[in-house]
Amino acid sequence: MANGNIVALRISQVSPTPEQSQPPEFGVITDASTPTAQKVRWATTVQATISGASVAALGLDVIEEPDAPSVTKFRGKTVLRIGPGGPVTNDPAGKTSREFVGTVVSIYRRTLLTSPVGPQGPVYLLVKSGDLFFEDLATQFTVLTDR
Amino acid sequence: MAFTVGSRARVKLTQAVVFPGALSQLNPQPPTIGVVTDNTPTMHVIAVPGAASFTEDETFLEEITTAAQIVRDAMIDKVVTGQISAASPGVAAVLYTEPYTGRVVDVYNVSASPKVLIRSLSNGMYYELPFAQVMPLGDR
Repeated sequence: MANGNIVALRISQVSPTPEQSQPPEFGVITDASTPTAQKVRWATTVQATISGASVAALGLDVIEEPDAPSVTKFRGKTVLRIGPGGPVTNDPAGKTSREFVGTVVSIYRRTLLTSPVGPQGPVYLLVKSGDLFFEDLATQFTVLTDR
Repeated sequence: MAFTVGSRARVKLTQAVVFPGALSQLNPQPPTIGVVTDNTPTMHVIAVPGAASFTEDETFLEEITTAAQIVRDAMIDKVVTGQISAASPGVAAVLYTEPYTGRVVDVYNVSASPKVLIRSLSNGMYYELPFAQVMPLGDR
């Protein structure tokens, strides 16, 4: 954690998460001098002090650079979340409704705030489908090749 | 370096620009851009539409300035999409898929680099790309 880190509130690990804010919000740490009470300037311009019993309790993830293969795979592509049962014959999306097809807003890693310096967390996609934003592990999406 | 009073500014959500178009799309939807109203050498007062002013260190801000006229003329009032790879002899350009096709909302410089702000025609998503990665679409 350091000043200038881009952060977001930690999301539920249950997929799909019902707590996804619409639209999602990201901010930048402007004062990390007190680890358990860090100041964040949210992109909507509001500044808040996020306090907790420990750094882990702040509930923040650091948003970091993704890996090159993920960027190559998803940048500019149309994606669909893979259904809970996984891919099925003739449908890599596992029967997920095509109504959920979306465009990739961003590709990034979510790394724990307590982790050492450097991109380490899993790669996530932030996707917009119609008027709905949702975020999930990149491994949970398949690229549609006919769009 | 102090920003210029009157120029636009936003919270800086870009770290290393390693993969353009990957990490950079973290701005609010729609984007929140303010105007610099006052300066000290490193602290800037930003007025944001619909909200009170706030003061922030320039370390955590990006100054948005006017792009060159030739760049603006090439993009304003166009329907565009992103370009994954440029055309080369015998090979067509590889473009973003259809849902990314959008109207140009604005063209500006961020840290002296020209950017194009696009709004998708299909889902209203705002996204920003380097000028060199945007392709106007003909007959639109």
